[in-house]
Order: sequence, then structure tokens, then C-alpha cells
Amino acid sequence: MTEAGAPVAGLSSSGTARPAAGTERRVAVRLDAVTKRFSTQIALHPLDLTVSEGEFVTLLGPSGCGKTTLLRIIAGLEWPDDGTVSIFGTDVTDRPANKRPVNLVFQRVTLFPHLTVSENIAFGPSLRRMKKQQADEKVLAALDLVRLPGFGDRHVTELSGGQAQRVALARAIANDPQVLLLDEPLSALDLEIRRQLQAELKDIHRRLGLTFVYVTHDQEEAMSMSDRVVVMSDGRIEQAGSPVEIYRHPRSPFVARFLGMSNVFEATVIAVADGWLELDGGSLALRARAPAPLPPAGGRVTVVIRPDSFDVAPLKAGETATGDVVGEVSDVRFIGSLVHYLVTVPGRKWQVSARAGSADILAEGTRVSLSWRDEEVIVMKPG
Amino acid sequence: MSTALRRLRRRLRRRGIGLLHVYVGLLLLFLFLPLAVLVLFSFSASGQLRFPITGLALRWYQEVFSNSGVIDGILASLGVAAVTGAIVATVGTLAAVAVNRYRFRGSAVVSGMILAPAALPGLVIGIALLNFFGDIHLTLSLLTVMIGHVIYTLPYFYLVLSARLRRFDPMLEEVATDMGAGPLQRFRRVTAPLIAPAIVASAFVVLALSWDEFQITFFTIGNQSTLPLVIWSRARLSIDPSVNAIGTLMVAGSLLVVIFTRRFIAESYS
Amino acid sequence: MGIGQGVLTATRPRQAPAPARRRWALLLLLPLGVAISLGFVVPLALLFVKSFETSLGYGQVSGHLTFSSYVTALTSPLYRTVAVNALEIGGIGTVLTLVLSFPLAYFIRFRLRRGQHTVLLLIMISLFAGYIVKIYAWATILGTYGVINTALQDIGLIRQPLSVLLFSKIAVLIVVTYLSIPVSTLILVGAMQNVDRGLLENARDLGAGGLRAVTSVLVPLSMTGIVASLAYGFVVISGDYITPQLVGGTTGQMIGVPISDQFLSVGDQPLGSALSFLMLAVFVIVYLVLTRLERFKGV
Repeated sequence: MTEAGAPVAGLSSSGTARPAAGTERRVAVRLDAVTKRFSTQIALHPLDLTVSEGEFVTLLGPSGCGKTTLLRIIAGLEWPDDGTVSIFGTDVTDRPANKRPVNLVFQRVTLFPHLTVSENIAFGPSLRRMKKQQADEKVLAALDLVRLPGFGDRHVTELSGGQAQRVALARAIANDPQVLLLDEPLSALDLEIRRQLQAELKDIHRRLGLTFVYVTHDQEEAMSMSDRVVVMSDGRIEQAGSPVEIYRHPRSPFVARFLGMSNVFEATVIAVADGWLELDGGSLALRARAPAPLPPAGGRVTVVIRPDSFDVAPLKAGETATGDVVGEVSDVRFIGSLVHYLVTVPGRKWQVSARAGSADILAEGTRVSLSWRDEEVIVMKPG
Repeated sequence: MSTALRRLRRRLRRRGIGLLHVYVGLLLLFLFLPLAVLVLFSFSASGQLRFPITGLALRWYQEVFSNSGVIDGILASLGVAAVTGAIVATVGTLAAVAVNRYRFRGSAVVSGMILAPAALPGLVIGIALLNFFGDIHLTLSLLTVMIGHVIYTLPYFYLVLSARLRRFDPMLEEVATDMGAGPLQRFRRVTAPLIAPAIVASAFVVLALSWDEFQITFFTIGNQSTLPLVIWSRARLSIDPSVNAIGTLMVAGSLLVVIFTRRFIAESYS
Repeated sequence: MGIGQGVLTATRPRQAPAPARRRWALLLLLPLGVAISLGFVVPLALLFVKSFETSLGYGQVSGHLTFSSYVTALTSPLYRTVAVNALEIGGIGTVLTLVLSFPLAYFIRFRLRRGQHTVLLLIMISLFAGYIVKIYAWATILGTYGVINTALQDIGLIRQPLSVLLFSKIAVLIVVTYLSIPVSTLILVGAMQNVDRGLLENARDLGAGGLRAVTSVLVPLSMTGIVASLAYGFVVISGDYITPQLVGGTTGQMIGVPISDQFLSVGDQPLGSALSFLMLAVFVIVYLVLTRLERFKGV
């Protein structure tokens, strides 16, 4: 087991070992004002993106948001209509894919069917006419890295989906890229294999210290693996930040909803004082921390309260509310570790998640009292 | 239905044999029976084509192989098939690749024109070529036969190859480029090895078609004969087992071709 | 999708190089263009011109252009019979072929798992056994001194050979159907490849009995194959000029025979050409009708 950032024998990470903490990290990928149009549609509005050396960045968004297009532009398989792409300081905008120091792991299995596993992995090195011994070492190291030792002589058709994608990963890594691009490589696999490979990918990332740019529509996947998540929609970057950051402070209703927070509603600002807002959510009064810039009194804002922010307490018959709001459970979904309730409160229905634990699971129709901390109320820009 | 029949049907049903199976069996029998009879009588000792068969002998084959006319016919057929195959494979591959790879207006028209000869009966192609060769004063020979075969087999080659090319995953070329392959390397290492089997399979279709071709050859043949023509001229005169022998040889030839390319042909139906 | 679209250029232009692409394509198509024009278009055109010439017998023509060949072709009772025969046998033959090969194709595509390749192989073998070989084989079976007749005579069932077996329209019909079944089966299997097995199961699940499921689901979805089989069969069968000569006798002659005769012995080539193009005209009509059928029943 090697330490994070130390080169794995046989595989260099092209001099991009993660530098010691505290030193300035280089910019691995920089996109400036990159735009892309497909005949009538705009696939990408001018966007800027910076990926630091050794980072694991994920482009997250629904299908059609442009994330794959953006990835392919970095790879060189699509040309941007405007803007520039730089890899480690070098402008590669005019270079075709075969001249860029990046490699892409595709979504579908794209192993060469006429070559064995070893030959597939050695493809990149063989193009550069690497000496056989050196190439063989690389292949072995790569197979070890993806936990498929001894698979070298197998034929592509003999591999399962998970195995095939591992070989694809090994092939990309064996090419010594400066940045590794991955286009939803796990989306076609079973849940269990997917979880396993997610963990392995993270581990490989740690060991190699290589810069990863990952694309997915699965928010759980993005949050669990990435250093930074870039949420995209309709060709624009909605928000970029660490998983914790964007989860705790989604900046737009789209981001909130995409990350699974569905208690999004509008409220009017009644008063602003001491960095706090008094809000009228229509039949509901709330307080929330004021964002910057301060919304004016009387203005409308969009508010979100995450399902896990609530405390739920069942009310016995006749009891009055002990918390902030009273509601009735209208739907119960027991997931295992969590229970998802749909609670009808004045004016709306809220998703409430609670840990199942040893507490009783509330039945449909139960009157409950919901409470939350004011800090948990998130105010986003309107619209 | 009588109870006996019903019982039989139930017993067959249990073995998974239904009406369809019976039908298919009978149809396949129908397809192969004439050929079986043909082969059978080629080994008949007597000169009669009637049952019962008195004895088995190879005398007709001996007669056939000692006959220079038949040998010449076989060689002529092989030669024409080989040259036709080579020409069609070259021209056809270029065309199929051009239409498959490049989007250009009129590609449908081009496809249509390539496939046009298959829409006509061999008769019309044959007489058109005969007339043409007469007009340009080209003596009929194996060359003119070959020209006819090229026109005849080109659509089929194109059809089979195009179908196979469409199955080619374009992403494989992208992967190669992503790995660092320039256009030439990409072609040599990925594209060519993957479409080569398709070309070979299609070429074998051409060989088989040319080997059996009669209706066009009939008009474009000069002094030399291809094997089907040899059968024709002999069959005109009488029904004798030596023709059966030649026929059996033709069937054997086709059998060899088909078995040899079994791997390639099977792929196209998987 | 074609190979490598979008990744064809090594250098990076700001716009996609459409003109360059077309130039490459045209270059690749050049040999084909030459072959087809010389070997197909030009000969057909010359033949067409020939149909308007005046015949001097023995293959000679004067330079004088006229419609007389077409008139003869259309009005002479000689050619009417054989033309009608060709249409009849062509029509019945191709439909019969379709009906016979459809269940076989269905069986191969949907009922066989491992045996598929073997059976397809068998069909290919019967296909490639050779046109003339097969006709000859049938002649030996149906002929005056053929297997059936001699067997029946030997047993004593008949005294004279049954000449109705050989030398009749029925004989021609049997042989041409026999010849077309392999190709038709292959065409149909090809078309059925695109039909999802699940669709048929779905139809059964919804209540359609076995046969009903097939006719209401499979037939419309494999319509392209059905039409192709009918069209191809009709063209090949009605244009056959050898089968009628070997097994047709007096009643089973088809239009292909006089056409071929003109070019081989008689020598009235303009007439032969005229007859050919009239035949092609009929084919075009048949194609149009069939494609209309496809659109009507098709998906």
C-alpha cells in the first residue's frame, strides 16, 4: 500500500504527485469562456472552469446539461466554438485529441475487440513505440492497480461489465495522462459493482495523485467521490464547490432540487435585522440568516429546508404544538437506515427524513410537530 | 381427429415437436432431396437414372476427370471467380467505406445505383452486355464473362459489407485517437483489423455467386466454358450420370466455400 | 452511424471541413463509378437505343429508328401468351415462395437457439449449389426418363411416361419456387433480426394466440423483408429463360425465352430489346405497387 501521492511502481503520474500540504498547487485544466453550439442549440454558454492539480472534480447534472460535451472538449474530441482550453499551462485548444496529454474513459465499453486485455492496455504505449519490457511492466502495474492481476491474456469478450471498465481504466492510466477524464464510466453497472468501483476509483486517485475530471448524473456518486462538485444545467455552471459546501449552501433552486432537497418554496421578506431575515412563507413564519447581498424588505426569496433538518415528534391527541409547525404524515417510506415522511403542513407538503434507529416508525395520519434550527433555513437567490 | 393421431400428437408435443417442426423438416427435405438424388445417381454403376440402384461406382467421376472439357471448365470458373472477387472486393470496399463514413448529399442515390443491377434479371444484364460488346467489337471470352460477373456480384458485396460496416462502433476510433494515434495509425491498428473480416466474408459471397453464375454468363461466353456452361451443354444432349458427377462436384465446391467461411458468415447473423 | 465521424481530420480547423470530406468520398467512389457506368449504364442505354432500330435479320440493323419493335411486341399474339405466362408464374411463384419460406424463416429466427447457424448454413449450401445444377436435378426427377416416371413404370402404375410432369407450367412453377426459397428465407431472416423476440411474447401475453401474434406483430414489422422477397422473387422468376426451356414444354414457356432467342439465334435484336424493356417496365410497376404495400402495412 503506497502513500497518497507516491508513484506506483511502473506507473508515473507524469510528475503530478500531490505536492506537500501548504505548497501552491498548479492549475491542471483551465477552461476560459468555452462555448459550444450544435446547429440550432447552444450546448455550452461561455463558461470558465479551473481544475487544480491532483483534484477529483465531478461535473454533475441531468442529461443534456452539457457535461459530457464539456468533457469531450477537454479531451479534444469536440472543438469549442469559442474559448480556450489549457492543460498545465499549455494552450491545447488547437490540438487534436491524439496530441493532448489527457485520456478519456468512455461510458460504454470500448475495448478493442480484436485485441487481448494486455494488448488493449498496451495500446497507448505501443503507439509511442515503447520498448517491450517497459510496456509489459506498465501493463502489469496497471492490471494490479485495477485489481485484475493475471487477466492479461483474456479476450475482451470474456469480461464482465465491471471487469471491462476496469481494463478501460487501466488502458487510460497506462498511457500516462496528465489528467484523467471519466465519462459516467459506472452508469451501466449493477449497484453493488458500482459501489465497489467507486471506492476503488477513489483509492486509485489517492494512490496516483492524478487529476481526475469525472462526469455523472448520480448526485450520490458525485458527492461521495469528489473533492469538488460542479453542478451544471442547460450548458451553464450553476454552482461549484466541495460536496459539503454545496449541500449545506445550495445557491439556486435547481441545485437544491438536484441534490435531493425538495422542500423549496418562496417567501416574502418581512424584516431584515442583525444579519437575520424575518420571512413570511404564506401561513408560516420563519427566520433565516441573511445572505449577501441583502434582499430588500418586501422582496421575494426562495427558501429551502433540507429534509434532514427537521426534528419530528408525534403529537398525542389533544396536545398542542411543541415545535414550530404542526402537520400530518401523509406518506411513509422506510428505506432501512432512514425513514422518509411526507408531512402535510399549512400550505404545502414537506419531505422529512429521520433516522429509523430504534424509534417507532410513524404511521400515516399521525399528527406531528416539526421543529428546526433557524440556521438550517437556506435562503437562495430568487427564481 | 382419431385417438391414435391425438396420442401421437401429444407424444410429439411432449418432445417439443409441433406442427412447425414437421413443416420445417419437410421443407428442408424438399430443398435437399433433388440434390441428394443428384449426388446419389452420380455414384450409380449403371447408366440408368432409375431405382433401384444396382451398384455403386466411381466410373462417372473417372470419366469426368479424364475429360479435358470439364477440367477446363473448372479452371475457367475458378479463374473468373478469383479475378471477379479481387476486383469487386477492391472497388466495392472503397465504395462501401465512402458511403458509410462520409455524409454527403446524394449518398442514397449512389447506394441506389450500386444496388441497381440486382434489381434486374440476369437475362437483361446478359443481353445488354452482349449487345455492348458487339458494338465495341470486343470478342467474347472469359474476360467478357468476368465483366458480367463483376456487375452482377458488386451489389451483393456492397450490401453485405455495408451491413457489417454499420455495426462498427465509431467510438473505437475515438478511443484510438484519445490514446494518441494519428490518422494513419488509427487506420492500421484499429479500423483495418476490424473491417477486414467483413471484407473477407463479403468477398466469399462474391466467389460463391460467380462460381454458380449462369444466366449472364450464357450470353457473354466465348469459346471457353465455365463449369455451369459445361453442365448445360451436356444436359441438353442427354441425361447421363456424368453430368450428375459434375453437378456433385459443383455442390461440393459450394459446400467447401460455405464451410470455410462459416465463421465469417455466422457473425453476420448473430 | 459511420466510422469515425468527427475525428477524421488530423489538424484542427475552426469549422468542420465539409468540402474536404466530400472530395475524399468522391475519390473513393471513382472506380465504382467507372465500373458501373461502363458495365451497366452504358450497355443498358445502348440496348435501349437498339430497341428503336429496324432489324435486318441475323443481328443486323439499319440506322433507321422506329417504334415498330414495340408495336410488334405489344400486339403479336405469340408474345402475349408467354408474357402472360411470365406474369402468372412470376406472381404465383413469388407468393408461393414467400408463403413457404416465411414459417421457415420464423422458425430459424425465433425458435432455434443453438441450431441457428447450422440451419442457415444448410440453406446457404442449397443456395450455392448452383442454378443449373438444381434445374438439371429436377429434370432428372421429373423427366420422361427421370426417376419418378421410371419408378412408376417399373412398379407398373403407368404404362407411358407422364409427360405432364415434365414439360408443363406446373413443372416450371415447382422448379422456380424451389430455386427461390433459399434466397427468400435468407432475406426474411435478415428482416426478422430486427424484430425483438420480446414483442412477440408481449403480444401473446396480451391475448393474441400463436398465429395471431405472428400475423399482427411479425408481419408488419418484417414488411421490408416481405416486400424485398416478393420483388426479388418476381423479377428473378419471370425473367428466367432457362427453366422454361428445360422443363416447360409447350405450355410453360415464359417471355425470357423468345428474348434470349432473339439474341442467340433469330437475330431480331430490336424486338428482343423492346420485349426486355417492356418487361422492365412491368417490373417497375410491380416495385411501385409493392412499396405502396409496404407503407400501408408497415411500421
